[in-house]
Amino acid sequence: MKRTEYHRLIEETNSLMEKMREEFSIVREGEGIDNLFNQLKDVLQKITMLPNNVINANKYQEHEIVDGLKEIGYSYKKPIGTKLHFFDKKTSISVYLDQRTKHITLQP
Amino acid sequence: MNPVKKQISEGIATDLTSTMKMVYFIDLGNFLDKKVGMMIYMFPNVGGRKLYRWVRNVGESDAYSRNVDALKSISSRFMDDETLAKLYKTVNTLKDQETPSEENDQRVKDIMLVFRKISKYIKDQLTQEEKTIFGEIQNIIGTAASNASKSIEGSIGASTTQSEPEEETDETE
Repeated sequence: MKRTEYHRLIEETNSLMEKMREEFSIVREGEGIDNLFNQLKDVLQKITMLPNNVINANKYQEHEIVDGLKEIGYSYKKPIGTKLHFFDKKTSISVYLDQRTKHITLQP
Repeated sequence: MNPVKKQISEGIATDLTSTMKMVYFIDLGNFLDKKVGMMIYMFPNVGGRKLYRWVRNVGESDAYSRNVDALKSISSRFMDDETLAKLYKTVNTLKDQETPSEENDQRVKDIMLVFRKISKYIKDQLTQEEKTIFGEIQNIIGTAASNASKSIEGSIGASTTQSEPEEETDETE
């Protein structure tokens, strides 16, 4: 099976989770950080990294992507053609979500 | 009411309902998910349940089913929008503010000005495709929008105070 960016991220996630378990004995299977990582894995299964900082999120529905972006601090600015422009004030990073392809482009 | 005034009043009602359709449109994804949307800022006294009741049948329409994802995306994008919340709160303040009848025309003009701003703000944030969806859905939300407009007109009417006539003084006493 071809090693993809997704596999690399999953491996890194697993290794990070192991380190957390060793450092914090309180973290048990199915609790806290485990849940967080499982959610992260779920996300990683639905997205693909494309070149030039583009994320293909076409396995998500548009409203799920919008909810996700807002949850991590992006607010909606305006549409540019078929793309929706989101902006994070804290980091000054713009994100463009193409409604047709569900590709997310990051632009610092 | 004289014919000119009646015409103006009807024009205002049409304008109000037309913007109110847009206000309902961007909140449909919230209402039909049984979440309190942004409209509550404009109608805190009407309440989320009633606002939902006016629009609940929309969920059964084909136009809604075809566009569920788009409508939810629109509602998510506008949810907690600070500019929109301020504009909605302004409408709420203006419509419930006790106003003497002679100043009422000015109040209605102010409300209409805020409504035009709301309409422009929403339109500017929708993509061309979403404006097409609005075209499909606006007839279905007509009754809900009309109920909301009537509620605003009712609030304006209820908060308009009649000036007390000056007491006549009997100079012979």
